[in-house]
Amino acid sequence: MFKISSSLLALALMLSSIACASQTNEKRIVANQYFVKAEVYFQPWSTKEYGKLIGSESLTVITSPDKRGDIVVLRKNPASGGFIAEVYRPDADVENPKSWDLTFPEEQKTIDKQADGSFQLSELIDGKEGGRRFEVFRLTRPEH
Amino acid sequence: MSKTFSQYAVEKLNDIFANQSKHVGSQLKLADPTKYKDYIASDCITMAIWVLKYAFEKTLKPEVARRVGGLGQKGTELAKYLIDHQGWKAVYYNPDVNHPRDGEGEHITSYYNQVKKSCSYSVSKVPVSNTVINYKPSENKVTPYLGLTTKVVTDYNAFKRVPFGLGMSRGGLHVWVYSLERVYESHWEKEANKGLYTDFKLKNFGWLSGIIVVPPDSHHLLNITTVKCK
Repeated sequence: MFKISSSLLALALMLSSIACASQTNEKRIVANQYFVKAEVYFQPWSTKEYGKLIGSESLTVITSPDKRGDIVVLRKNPASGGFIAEVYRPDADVENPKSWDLTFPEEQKTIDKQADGSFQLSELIDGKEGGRRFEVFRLTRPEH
Repeated sequence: MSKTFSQYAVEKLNDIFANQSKHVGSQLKLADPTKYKDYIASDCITMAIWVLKYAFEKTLKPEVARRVGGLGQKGTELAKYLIDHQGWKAVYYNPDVNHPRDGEGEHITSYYNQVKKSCSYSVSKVPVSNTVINYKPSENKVTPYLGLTTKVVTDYNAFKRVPFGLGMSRGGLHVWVYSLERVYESHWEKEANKGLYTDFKLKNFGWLSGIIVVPPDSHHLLNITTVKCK
């Protein structure tokens, strides 16, 4: 995870690379931005159930029109009052990726697209009382 | 050319996930049978049995499809039948054999006392052929006298190519479907399109050890560590 200054730089680089890769068109969309209220669930280890709703989280999710593009998630950093940017990269050599792994810390979190159209952003929490914490959100109306 | 067993299994799996609107978790249906009378009850092993039965029927083995349906109550018995009578192979998985993230010794025991020592899994003694281990080590020690585990992804990456397998954890307590690195689950307390069916990568799975039983059409893809017992 980066602080906002470096994250904005990464985001700008990503957007410019997407723009360069796009067709020449003045109305081209270089990225889609979504403001989402994610539901936060917790699934203890070794449980068959989906997980228990434990809260919600406001996220900004930036995607590329290219299915193979990165996903950037911005979330509030309660410690600094600023934002944290997380960059997720799709699996290599997959035409229609369903998973995007966090780039730093590497693979510590993953976004998975589900059959019902939702996305799950999950991470494993170590310890006997740990398990899988995941945020569920849908990307419906992009803001331009 | 006719499709393989795995191709039919994946076809059925995709169909279940894509056309789930009339499905409901079995616990929900049990709790309110009137509300869900027009819905098909689904849960972890039921979904796996649907997939297996479909693929066996499509590969012209109706008697096996019936047998598999009858073995649906106990995952490890189903695994043993597939191995002993249909030539399947069991692959043991465990992201960290020394330091399980949940702190449960069962994951250490299942590797050292069962798989490594007797080439079998669980008290049901399901024969194990291969292992995929230590692909997502914990950053915290559970076994104090052992160092942190070194991450090894060679076998994990090779196993990603396996298109279909029947997965089970905790001695068959939970049954699920594996395909191309992903774990496919049915959650018995959820409604369709609201979490009934989920899928994600094996490395992020919250059941930290178990086996994945692989049909013969994918055995050529098991270029991974084999287990040998005297």
